[in-house]
Amino acid sequence: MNPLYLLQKGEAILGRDGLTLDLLATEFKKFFPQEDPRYIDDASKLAGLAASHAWEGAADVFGPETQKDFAVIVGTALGAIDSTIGFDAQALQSGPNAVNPMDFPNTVANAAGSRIGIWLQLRGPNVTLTNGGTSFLDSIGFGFQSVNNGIFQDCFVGAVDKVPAFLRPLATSDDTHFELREGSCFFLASDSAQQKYLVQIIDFLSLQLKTDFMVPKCFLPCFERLWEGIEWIGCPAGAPLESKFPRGLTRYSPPTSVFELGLGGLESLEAFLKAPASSGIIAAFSKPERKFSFIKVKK
Amino acid sequence: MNQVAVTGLGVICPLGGDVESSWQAMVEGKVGVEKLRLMDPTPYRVKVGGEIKDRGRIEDFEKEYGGKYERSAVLSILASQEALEKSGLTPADLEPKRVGSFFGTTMGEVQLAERLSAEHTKNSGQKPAADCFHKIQGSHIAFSVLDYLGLSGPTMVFSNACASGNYAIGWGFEQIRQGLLDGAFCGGVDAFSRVAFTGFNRLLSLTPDKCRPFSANRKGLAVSEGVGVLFLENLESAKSRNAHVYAEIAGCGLGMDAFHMTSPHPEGAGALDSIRRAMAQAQISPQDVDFISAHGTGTSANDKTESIAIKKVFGQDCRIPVDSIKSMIGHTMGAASAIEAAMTCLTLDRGILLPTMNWEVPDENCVADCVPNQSRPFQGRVALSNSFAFGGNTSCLVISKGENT
Repeated sequence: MNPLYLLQKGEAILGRDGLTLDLLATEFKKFFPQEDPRYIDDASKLAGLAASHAWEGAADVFGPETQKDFAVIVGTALGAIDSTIGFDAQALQSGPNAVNPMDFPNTVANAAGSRIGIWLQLRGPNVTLTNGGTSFLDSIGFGFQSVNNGIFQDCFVGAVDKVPAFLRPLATSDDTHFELREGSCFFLASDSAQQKYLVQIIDFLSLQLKTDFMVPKCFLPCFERLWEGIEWIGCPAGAPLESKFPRGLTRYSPPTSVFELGLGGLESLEAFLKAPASSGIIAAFSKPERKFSFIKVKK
Repeated sequence: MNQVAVTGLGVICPLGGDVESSWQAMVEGKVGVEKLRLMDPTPYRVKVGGEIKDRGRIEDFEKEYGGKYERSAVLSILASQEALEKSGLTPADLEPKRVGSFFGTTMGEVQLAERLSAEHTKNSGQKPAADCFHKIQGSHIAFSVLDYLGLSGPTMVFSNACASGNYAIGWGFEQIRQGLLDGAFCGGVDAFSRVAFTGFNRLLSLTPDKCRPFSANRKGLAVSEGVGVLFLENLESAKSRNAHVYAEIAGCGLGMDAFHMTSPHPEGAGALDSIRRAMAQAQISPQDVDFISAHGTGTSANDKTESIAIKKVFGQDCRIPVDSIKSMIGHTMGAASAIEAAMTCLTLDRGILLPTMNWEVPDENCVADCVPNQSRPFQGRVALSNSFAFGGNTSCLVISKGENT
């Protein structure tokens, strides 16, 4: 397998660097002065900002020829639920003929990914994955596998999530969760290290567990291959399969107080970038589906 | 690389509760778009759409499982079950971890979202059930199929609006082709959505009566619901157990208009890219293509730009038959491309072209042969199945006739 190189990172996470929902429209206008933020949902604004940060300076490297085939892979747990519920509520309150048609495009989960493609003129495959808590890592895995299958060479991989206010209590009803990770993060990625890169993705595995303790037999070879030569793991505390992880690894667990939603694995990846380790595994777990996704990373 | 066989099909749509009844109704040119009954259309400008009429199996299942699965998941489970039966397999025949579940959906579990928004709007004070937060996520759909069938391979849910089903089939195709899986349920699903109906109504994209793809007097699309599932497996293993091979998936191309959220690129840029990419992957030339299952929504802009893209690939005087089954079942959103792919498999397998119903007036901007109003015999071997979406996401599958002894 050939590596997928993550070259540059861009993010727009609520609560980080002073970003709030109130400031979002102003920040967005700095990058997209021609767009009217009133008609663009928050998830698209967040994703657009994150992608733009990752894209800064890249236009010179990825010229118009590259943009023709440049892919955008977006993961999201909740997709457009926030806008869908808002749009429906508008129709229920004021009648279906009073809703603003400009708000309708915001109700599709691919709104954020499509807008990144439109705003940055990226015409390769544009894919939105709604894969719960593994959405972020699955988007990286999708990029990794597609590059290896010859589908495309350059892409954005990342995720975005925004929770409807009235569903927040459900998201945090687990005793340990009191902060939701809302926002977006994208990496500019390529099959070649055209410039200094942050990290290489060298393997990807995603599996559905029947029990918390068993690696399915048919996955054992992949699972064992995953751990070869690594020294570090970033994995949620109390995740399944822990007894199967090799001993002696440096272990990082993102704070349990934070519910990363579709951005599951970002916190661990950030920790790995700062850690004195050259290779590792980032894991994310989507609890209701018992789905585990892993990426193997190397600096 | 493995060749990828389609050995099972499952469909539920406004014309039938299974694949055979849906196929037969389409061969006969029946139309399932009519005045809405399950949703009150009184306040809307347009009052027609496509609803699943044969709801017995769905309601029985929902009664039995008492809310464990939401509606899109239920449709996906039932169609997957049918696809598996058609393939001649049972869950016990499958290595649980080696079978994936890949689904596409535009609106996900939208009926749950609509129930929650109605409660919220009424300010009823009723707290949403705790499992809503999980069930409202798209991932619920693909997981539910495996959960119900007792399988546990990988899952992916693609939310690329109306092209979602093709994205899921394309991903499953790659997994089987690369030998990463033995089998895959690949499909698209959407339950009838008040949000979609309201939105298209306000965009003035809905036909007030009939959906007339490629006809000069076309007036728009008809919102509908349904599910389509293809069971994919390695061709060699299908042959070794003498399974009937409906068709083979030979290529998948994805593209992007990068033009506008709701309007297609006027020159069909994304459509063209996806068609060319799919044909390149399948290593076929324009002369090899015998039939095209169109996206064919019946809107003025879509049918024109799709025709432009087809003519750019196959020539201005292209006579390849191009049909749109949306004329009969309406636009089933995320299910559309999967149902169309299933019907394309049957078209190749049974040698019958499905009609584009309601075609009345020739349009020189559109394709020359849309198989108007009547099904007809057909002897082709290679088909394309186009699907384009909101946001400019475009897709195309290359499907070839299955080899059966």
